[in-house]
Amino acid sequence: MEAKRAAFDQLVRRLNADLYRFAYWLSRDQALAQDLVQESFLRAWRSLADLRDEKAAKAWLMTIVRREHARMFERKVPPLDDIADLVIEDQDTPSAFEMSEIQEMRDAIARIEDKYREPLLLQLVGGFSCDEIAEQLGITASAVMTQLFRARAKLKALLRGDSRGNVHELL
Amino acid sequence: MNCSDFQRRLLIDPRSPELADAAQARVCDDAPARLAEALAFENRIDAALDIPPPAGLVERILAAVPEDARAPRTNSPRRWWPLALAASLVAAAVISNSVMQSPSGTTALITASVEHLSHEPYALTRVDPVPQRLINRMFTDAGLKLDSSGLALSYLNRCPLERRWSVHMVMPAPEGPVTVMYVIGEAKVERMDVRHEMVAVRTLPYASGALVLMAESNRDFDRIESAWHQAAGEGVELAGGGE
Repeated sequence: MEAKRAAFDQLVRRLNADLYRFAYWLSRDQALAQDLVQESFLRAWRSLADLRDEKAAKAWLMTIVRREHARMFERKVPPLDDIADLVIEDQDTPSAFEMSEIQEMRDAIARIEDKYREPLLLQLVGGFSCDEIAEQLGITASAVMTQLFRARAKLKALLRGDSRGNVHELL
Repeated sequence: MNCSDFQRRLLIDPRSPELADAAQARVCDDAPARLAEALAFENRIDAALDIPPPAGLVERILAAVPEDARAPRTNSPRRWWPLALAASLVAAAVISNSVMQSPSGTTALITASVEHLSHEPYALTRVDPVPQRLINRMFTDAGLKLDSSGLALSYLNRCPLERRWSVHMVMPAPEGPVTVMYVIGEAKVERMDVRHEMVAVRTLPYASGALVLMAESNRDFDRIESAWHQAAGEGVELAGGGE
C-alpha cells in the first residue's frame, strides 16, 4: 500500500499542473477546475494499477475531466470567472506589455467555441498528436485538424479585432 | 507538401518537424518567415494558457484520498460506472424533457439543427469513410450500443446543440449527402417531415434521444431511417459506460 501511495503522490505532483490548466480552460472557473482535478485524481487512485504509463495516465485523466465537465454542462451552465479578474501567480513576472499581450490572448481563447478550444488544449496542454486527440474525442483525425485550423484562425481573427472571430481563410 | 498545404498546416500543428523541413526547402518563397511568425504566435498561446494551479492543490488532492480507499478493495470500482452513467442520462433527460414536451419543442430542435449546418459546412465535403471503431466509441460515449456496421459515415463529430450534446454525422446517399444528428436525451421529440430554410428535415424519437435527418431532398430519408432502426436491433440498449 505504501508503494501505491508513493506512486500516486508522484502522479499527482507530475500531472496536477497540466490537468488544472486543462480543467480551468474547459470550465473557466477556478473552484470548478480544482474540483474536476481532484475528482479525476481520486478516480485515478482507484485504478492506479492500470495507469503505469504516464502518457496513458494523462490521457485517461484528461478524458475524465472532459466528461465530468460535459456532464456539468448538460445539467447547468455554471457562472464563469471573468478572465480579467483571474489572479495569476507568475514566477517570472512579465512586463506590462507582455502582460497585456497575454491578457488579450486569454480573452480570445475564452471566446472561441468549446469545440475548437478542446482540441487546442489537448494539443498544447496535453501534448497529444491529432490521432491521439481524435481517439480521445471520438472523432476523426481530419475533424481534429479542421478544428485546430479553425481554432488558430479564430484566435488570429479575434486578435485582429474581428469581434466575432470570423474565419475567412479557405480550409 | 506544396505551399498551400504548408500554410494550412501552420494553423494545425506549427511545431511539426515536417514544417521545419518544408520551410528549409522553401515550399513558399517566404516559408521561413511564415514559420517563424507561426511559432511566435504559438508561444503567445502557450504563455496565455499557462495558468498555474493554486497553492495547496496537491495537498488537497492527497488529503482527499479516503482512509477506507487505502485498504484493499473487494469490489471493483467500475461497478459504479453504469449507475453513474444511468444517473447522468436520467438527469439529462429530465432537463431536456422540460424543454421538449411540445410540438414547438420539436420545431425548436429543427431550427437549431438547420442552423448548426452552417457552422460546419465542410462536413458535407468529406468523402473518406469514418472508421467503425470511432463510430462505436462515439455512441458508447453517448450511452448507446449499436450495431453500426450498416451505417456508412463520411463525417463524425460531437457538437453542442444549444444546451444539449449531439452526434453530428454525414451519410453519403444517392441524392446527395444526408446530415444526421443524434441529439442525446431528446426522447420526447415528435416525428415530423418538414422543410425549413430550403432544407428537408425529418425528426423522430430514437433510443433515449432523437434523430434529425437533413438534406436537400427527403428522398433518401426512408432508407437511412431504416438503416438506423436496423443498427438499433430489436431494442436499443444502454451501453455499460466506463472510462
